[in-house]
Amino acid sequence: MLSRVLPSLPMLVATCSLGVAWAILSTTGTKQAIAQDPLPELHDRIDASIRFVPSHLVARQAEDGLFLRRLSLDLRNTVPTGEEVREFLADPNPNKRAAWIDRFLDDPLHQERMVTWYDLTLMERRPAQNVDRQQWLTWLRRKVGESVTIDELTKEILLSEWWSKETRPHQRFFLDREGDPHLVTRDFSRIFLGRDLQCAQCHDHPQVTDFKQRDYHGLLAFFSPSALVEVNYKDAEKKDQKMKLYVEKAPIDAPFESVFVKGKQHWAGPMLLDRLPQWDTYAVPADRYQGPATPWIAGESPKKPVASRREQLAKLLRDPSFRPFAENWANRLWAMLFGEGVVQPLDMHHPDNPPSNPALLQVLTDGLIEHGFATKPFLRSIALTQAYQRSMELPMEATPDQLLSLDSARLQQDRMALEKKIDALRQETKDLRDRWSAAIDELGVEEAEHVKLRTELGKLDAAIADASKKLAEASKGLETAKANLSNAQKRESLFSEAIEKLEAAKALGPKEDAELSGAVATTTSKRDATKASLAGLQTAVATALANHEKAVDVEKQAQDAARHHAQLLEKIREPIEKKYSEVLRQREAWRDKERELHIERLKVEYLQAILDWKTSFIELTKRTDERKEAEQQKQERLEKLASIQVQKLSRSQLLESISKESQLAADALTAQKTRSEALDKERATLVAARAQLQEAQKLVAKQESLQGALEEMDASIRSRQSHLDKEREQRALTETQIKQIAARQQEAQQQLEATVQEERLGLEEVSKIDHRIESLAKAIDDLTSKRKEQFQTVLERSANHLAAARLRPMSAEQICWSILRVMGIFEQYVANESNDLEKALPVAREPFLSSEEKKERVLIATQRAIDKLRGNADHFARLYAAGSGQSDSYFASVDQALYLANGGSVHSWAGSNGRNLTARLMAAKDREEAIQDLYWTLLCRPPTPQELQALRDYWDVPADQKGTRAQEAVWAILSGVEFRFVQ
Amino acid sequence: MQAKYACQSLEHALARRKFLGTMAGGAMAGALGSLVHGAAAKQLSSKDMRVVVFNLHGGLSQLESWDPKPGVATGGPFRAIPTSVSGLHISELLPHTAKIMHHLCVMRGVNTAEDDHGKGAYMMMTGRRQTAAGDHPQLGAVASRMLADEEQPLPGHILITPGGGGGRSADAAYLGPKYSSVALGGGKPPSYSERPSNITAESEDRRHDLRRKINEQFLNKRRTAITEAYTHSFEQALRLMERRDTFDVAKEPDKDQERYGKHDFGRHCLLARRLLEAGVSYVQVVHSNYDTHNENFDFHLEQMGEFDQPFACLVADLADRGLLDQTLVVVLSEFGRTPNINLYYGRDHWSKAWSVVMGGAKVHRGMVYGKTNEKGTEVTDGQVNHGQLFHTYLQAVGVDSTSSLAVEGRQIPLADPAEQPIWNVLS
Repeated sequence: MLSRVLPSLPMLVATCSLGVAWAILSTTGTKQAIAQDPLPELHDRIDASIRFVPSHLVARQAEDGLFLRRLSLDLRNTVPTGEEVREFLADPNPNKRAAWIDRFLDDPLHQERMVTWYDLTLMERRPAQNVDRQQWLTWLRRKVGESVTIDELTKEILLSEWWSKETRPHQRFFLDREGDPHLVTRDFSRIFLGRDLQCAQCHDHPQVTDFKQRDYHGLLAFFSPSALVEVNYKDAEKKDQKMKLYVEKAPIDAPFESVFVKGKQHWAGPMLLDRLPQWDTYAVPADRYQGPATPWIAGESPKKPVASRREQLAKLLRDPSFRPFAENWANRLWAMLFGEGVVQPLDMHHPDNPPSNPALLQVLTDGLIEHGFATKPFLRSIALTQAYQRSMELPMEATPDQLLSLDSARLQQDRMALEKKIDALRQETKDLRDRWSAAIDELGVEEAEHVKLRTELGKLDAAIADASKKLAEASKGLETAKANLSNAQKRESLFSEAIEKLEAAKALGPKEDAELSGAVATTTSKRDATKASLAGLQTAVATALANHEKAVDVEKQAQDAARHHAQLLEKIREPIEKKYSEVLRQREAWRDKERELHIERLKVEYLQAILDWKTSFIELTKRTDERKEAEQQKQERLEKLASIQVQKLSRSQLLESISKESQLAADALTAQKTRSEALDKERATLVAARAQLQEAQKLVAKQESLQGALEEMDASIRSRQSHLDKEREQRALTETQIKQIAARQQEAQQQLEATVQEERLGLEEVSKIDHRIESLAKAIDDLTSKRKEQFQTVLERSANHLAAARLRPMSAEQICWSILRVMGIFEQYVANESNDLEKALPVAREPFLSSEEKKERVLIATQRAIDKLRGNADHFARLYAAGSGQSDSYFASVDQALYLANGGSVHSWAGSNGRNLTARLMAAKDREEAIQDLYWTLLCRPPTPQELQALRDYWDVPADQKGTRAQEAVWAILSGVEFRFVQ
Repeated sequence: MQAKYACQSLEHALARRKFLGTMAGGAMAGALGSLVHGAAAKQLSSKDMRVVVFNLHGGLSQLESWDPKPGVATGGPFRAIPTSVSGLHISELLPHTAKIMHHLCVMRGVNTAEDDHGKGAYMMMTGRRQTAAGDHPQLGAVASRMLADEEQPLPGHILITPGGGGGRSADAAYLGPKYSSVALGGGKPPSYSERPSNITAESEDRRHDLRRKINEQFLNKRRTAITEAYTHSFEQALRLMERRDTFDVAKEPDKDQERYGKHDFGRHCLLARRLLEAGVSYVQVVHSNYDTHNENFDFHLEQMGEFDQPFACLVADLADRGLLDQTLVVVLSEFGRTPNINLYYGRDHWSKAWSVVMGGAKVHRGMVYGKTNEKGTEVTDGQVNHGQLFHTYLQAVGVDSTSSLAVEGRQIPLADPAEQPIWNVLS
C-alpha cells in the first residue's frame, strides 16, 4: 500500500509529512496491516522511508567491485579475495548482489563477524578477569552457530544461573564489570537500551532533557540486589579454590535525591524507562529466600531469592510494546553496515539527538521485531536496500548541470517553510515541556507519602528481623529449658530404678554390704536432689514458653504491621500509577514534538548546505568567467601595446637618425668655421706680408723685382679671399640645413613623446587588469576552498539522509583480517587446519561426508585459524582501537603508521608466499596483467590509466629486481589511504 | 665523597654560592643561564610548555625526603640538612637536591585519604577518585592533548619505565588513544621506529613515493579530515624515524652521562632532558621500589641515593638552559609512609600527611606550602588533595583547569570540578 502511495507524493512536500504519515501507519498496528495487505519486503520499506533527498541528487549504485568490498567487510570483517572479486564480476546472474549477500551471510566468516560484534558490543574490550576469554568466545560461537536471536541472548545474559559454574560465560557482562551496580546500570542502559544515563545518576541529566534521575534509579533497582561474592569450593582434584559469583539477593531499595535539591526524596523502585514502576508483592523477610542455591560451595552458600529483579527486567524487555530495546538493536545492526547509526552516537537515543530519519528507525525497529530479533534476515534486508548499495559519489559532482538546474527559489521556499514550522515547533515544545514538568510536580504529594511508607516499611523490616532474631533466641531458650527438664525427669526415674535394683541386689547378697548401702544412700540423695530441682526446671520451662510466646507475638505484630503498611502502599499504588502515567504521557507528547523539531532542523541544514554549495558554485563560475574576460582584455591590451612599442621603436630610430644628421651638419659647420678661420688667418698674414713688401719696395731701387712678388702676393690674397667667400657661402648653406634638421628633430621628438605617453597609459591599463586578475584569482581560491568545505558538508548531510555512501574507516579487526586475507596468510592457516581435521578423520569416511559435515569442517577450520591468528588482531586493536570500556572511534597515530611502515610482520606478509599476490606479481609474464591483479586484489577495482602508467614505469626493471618491486608495490597499497577506508 | 658526585653545572656553582650567601639574588644566575643557552631557549615560544613527572612507585617516605622530623620518635635515623632556601631543611639523603631547592616548591600538607596502591596512583595521576562508571585520562594524556603541537612527530605523552616493553597504554580514557602514553621500557626507543634491517633505504624511499603517488589518485577524488589525518600520520612517522636519535642517550656528551650517572635512573633522567629539549610535552620518569614495609631506612638510603643526583642535575640543567620557566617538574608517589616505624624497621602506607614537590613553569620557587605536626602524623596547615594538585599542575603550564573538553558532544571538565587550583603556589 505504502509503495503505491509514496512515489506519487511530490518529493519535498512528501518528506515533510512522510514521517508523520508513516508513524501513524506504524503505530496504528503493523499486525493489522499484515492481515489486510501483505507488507512490502523490509528492504523496500526501508528504501521507501528514505525519501527526503530529491532523487536526482541521490548517488547511483556503487560499482560492483566496491560494493563487494563494502559488503564483505560489513558481513565478514575482511575484504574479499581477488578470486572472489573476479568471480563476482563475472557472475552473469542478474540478481547476483542478492545471491552474494546470502553467500556471505552463510560464510563461516560471517559467524565470526557476529561473534566479534557481540564481543565488542557487550564487553567493549574489557580485559577478561573473572571469565576466561576463550570460554566466552566459545559460548558466543555456540550461540551464533545456533542463530541465537538478540532477545534470547539478552535473556540468557540476564537469567543465567549465577549459582552454576557452567553459565559463567553467559554472565561475563556482569562478572567482568565486577558486578558494580552503577557500572552495570550505566552499561546496560547504554548497550541494551541505547541511553547513556550516567550523568543522571546524581541529578537529572544537565544537557539531555529526556534523561531523568528517576530513569537511572529505576534501572539501578534491577541491578542493585546483585553483587560479586567470592566463594570457596573444591575442584575436581579436591584442591581449595576461590571463585567470584554474581549473586542476586532479595532487594533492599532506597529513596534517591538530587544533589542539587537536597532533602527532597524520591522513589523509583524498579522501573524500566517508560514503563510504570514495578510493585513487588510484599513478603516478610523470612519468606524472601529459597534454600541454598549452591551445593558445590564450601561453607555457607548464598541463597536464592524467591523473586528475582533480573527476571522481572527480562520479562519487561520482552514486552513487544516496549520499543527502546528493539530500537537500540535495530540501530546497532544498521550501524554495523553503515558505520553510523540512524541515531548517532549509538547510546544517545533522546529527542534532542533524534534519528536522522525517524521513519527509517521505525521501519527498522518494526522489521527487527518482525524477524523476531534474528540478525541474519535483518542484516540481509539492510544489505538489499538501495541505500546500502549507493556509491560515495553524488551525481552533481560529475555533472554540475544538475546542480545548476536545481530550482534554488523552490529550495529556498522549502527552507523558509521549514524555518517557519521550526519556529512554531519551538514554542510548542516549550509548552509541552512545561506541561511535562508540571506533571512531575504533581507527583509530589503521593511521592512523599510513598517515600514515607517505604521508609517505614524498611524500618518494619528491620524490626521483623530483630523480632525474628529474638524469637530464634527464645526458641532456643525454650528448647534448652525443656531439654533440662526432661533430662532431670529421666535422671530421677533412672535413679529410682537404680535404687530398686541396688536394694534387690542387696537383698540377694550374702551379708550386709556396706558399699552397696553407701551406693543406695548416694543414689537416693541424688534422686532427691534431682526431684527437688524439677520444680525449678518446670518454672524455667514455663518462663521460656512465655518468652517464646511473647517473641512470637512480637514478630507477628511486626509482620502484621509490615503487612498493614504493605496494604497502605498498595492503596497509593493506583493514584501514583495514574499520576505517573500522566507524566509519561506528557513526556511522550513532548518527545514527539521535540524530535520533530530536530528533524526539521536536519532538513533545513541539508537544504542550506545544497543552497550554499550552489551559491558558491555559481559565484565561482562567475568569477572564473570574469577572470577569463579580464585575461582576454589583458591580451588585447598587450597586443595593442606591442604595436605601440613597435611605433615607439621606429620613432626613436628616426629621431636618432635625425640627431645623427644634425650632428654631422654641426660637425661640418665646425670644420667650415675652422677652415674659414685658417683662411682668414692666412689672408691676414699675406696682407701683412704685402704691407711689409710695399714698405720694402719704397726702400729698394729696383722696384720691378718686388713688383712681381707683390703681384704674386695679391693673387694669393685674392685666391684666399675667393676661397673665403666660397666657404662663407657654404657655411650659410650648412646653417640653413642645420635649422631644417632642428625643425625635423623637434617634430620627431614630439611624436616619440606622444608614443611613450601612449605606451605608459597602455601599461597602466595592463597593470590595472593584472591587479583585477590577481584579486579575482584570490577570490577564486577562497571560493574554491569554501566550495570544497561546503561540498564536504553536502556529502556529510547527504550521507546523513542516506543519499550517498559515507567514506568510513575500517575497524582494527577489519584491517588485520583484510591484510591477512589478501596476502593469503589466512587461507593458508585455514588450509592447514583443514588438513589436520582431515588427518584426524578415518580414511573411509572422507568420501561419505555430507555437505552439512563438510560445512561444519570448514567452520571449525576457520575458527581454529582465527584462534591461532588472533594475536595479530589483538595487536592491531592495541594500535587502532579505543581502550577498554571506551567506544571505538577513528584516529590516526604515528605508531599505527610506524607499525604499517616498519613492522616485521607486515613486511613478511607483503612478501612472496606460495601463490599469494606478491608471488603472482613476480611470476606474471605480462606487466599489464600484474598491475590489474594488484589493483583488483587489494582495492577491488581496476587501475586508472594514470595508475597503469605510473605502475608500468615502476615495473620496468630487470627481472632480478621484480621481487623487491612487487613487494614494495603491495606494501605501498596496504599502507595507502584507499586500503584503510571503506567506500 | 660528595665532591666526586657533585654536579658540575654552572647553575650549581652559582646556586651553591648563593646558598653560601655570597650572592644576593638569583637574577644573576638566570641572566647568565640565558646568555649561555639563549639559543636553545629561544627556539621555544612561551606557549611551549612541558611537564616532567618523577613517579616514585610504591610510596616515597616524606620523612626520609621532603619533610624530615629528626629527633622525634617517628623521625628515623637520618638528619635534616639546610638547603639553598634559607630555613628550608630536607633529609640528608638528598644532598644534591638540597642545592637546587630554590627552584622547587615543597607541598608538605598533602592528604589524599587513600592507602591502596592502585587507587592512590589513579588519584594522583588523574586528579580524581576512581569510579566504576568510567575512567578519566591521566595527567600525561591531558597535558599532551592541551600542550602538544599537532605537527610534532614525537609522541606527546612519554613514560620512561625501569623495564618492560614499549607500546601504548589505555591511560587516555575518553581523550582517545592518540594521547595515551608511549612507554619507553628500559629507556628504549618506540617500537617500529627503525627501518627493517633487510630493507634498503632506496627500497624504502621507493615504497613511500609509490604510496604517496597512489594516495594522490584517491585523494583527488576524496580528501576529507579522516584521510588527511591518515596520510599525515605516515609523514609524521617518517619524521620521527629521522629523529630517532632523540631517544638515544648515548648521543649526549660523555660529561653529561658521567654527571647523571650510568645507572638506569640516571640514563632515564638524561633521556628525559633530551626529550624535553626536543619538544616532547610530557615525560614521566618512573623510579620504583619505594614500598618499604621492611627496612625502610636501608631502602631509602639506597633509593634516594640513586634519585638525588640525576634529579638535581636535571632540574639544574633545565634552569641552566632557560627551560625551567616552561617546564613543570613534579615529584610524586601514590602516597607517603607512616610516621610510625613498624617491627621490621619499615614504614607502611600513609596518605593522611605526606609531601609532593613541584617546580618550574608558573610555580613559585623556593617555597614551602603546608605543614605537618611534630610527629608528622597530621597536616596542621595548608592541606591539599590530589584534585587540587591536579588543577595546579595544569594551571602551572597555562592550561585553564576549570575548562571543559567536548568529547563526542559531551562536555567533560579537564579536572575535578569540585576542586580548585592552589593559587597560593602559582605566580
